[in-house]
Amino acid sequence: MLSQVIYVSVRKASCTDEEIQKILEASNRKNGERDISGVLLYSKSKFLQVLEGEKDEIMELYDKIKADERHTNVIMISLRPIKERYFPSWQMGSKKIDDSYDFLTDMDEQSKKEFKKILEGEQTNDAIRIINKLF
Amino acid sequence: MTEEKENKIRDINNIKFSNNLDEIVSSLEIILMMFEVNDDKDIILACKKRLSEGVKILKEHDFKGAENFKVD
Repeated sequence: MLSQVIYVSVRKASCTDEEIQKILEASNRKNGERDISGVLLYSKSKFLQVLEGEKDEIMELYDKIKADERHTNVIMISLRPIKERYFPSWQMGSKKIDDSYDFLTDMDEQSKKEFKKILEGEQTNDAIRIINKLF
Repeated sequence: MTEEKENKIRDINNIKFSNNLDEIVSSLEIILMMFEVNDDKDIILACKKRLSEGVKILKEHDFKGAENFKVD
C-alpha cells in the first residue's frame, strides 16, 4: 500500500551541513532502488522529513533513520495511506530553513504562517500542500 | 490502538535527554508541539510525563555557556 510518513527530530549539535549533504547523497542513491521519494527540511536544531513509498519499505527505512547518530528523538507526526505521491520526482529534496521559520525561499506571508503551524504540528493534512510550495 | 498512535507513543517514550542544552530545549519543543496538537489522551499523558522529566532535567542543567542561549 502506498503510504506516507512524516516525522520530526532533533538535529545533534555535531551534525554539520556537510553531514546533511552526505545524508542527501546517500538518500538519492538508495531511495531510488526502493522506490522511496520524499523531502527533508532542516534547520539549525531540527529535521522534518516526509517519506513516501510502499508502507513496508518506508517503515523499514523509518526504523533505520531512527538509529542514525546524526539526529535524536525522532517522533512520528503522521502515518497514512496515500493515493498518489506528493513528491514523485524527488528521491530526496531538501530545504534549509532558519529557526525563526523565516524561509530562505519565495513564500507569501500566509504560506509562511501556515508552514509555521505545520512545523509546530498543526494542520498535518495540509502539510504536503504547503511543503510542495517550497519546492 | 492504531499503528500511528502506537508509533507516536513509542517515539515519545523513547526520547532521551542529552547533556546538550540546545538539544534538551529542542526535544522539549517537539514534545510540547505533540502535546498541543494531539487530542488522544494516551498521547497527551505520554507527553506530560516526558515534559515533566525534561523540565526537571533542564532545571538541574549546569548552565555553562548559558550566555549563548537565546530565548525569543
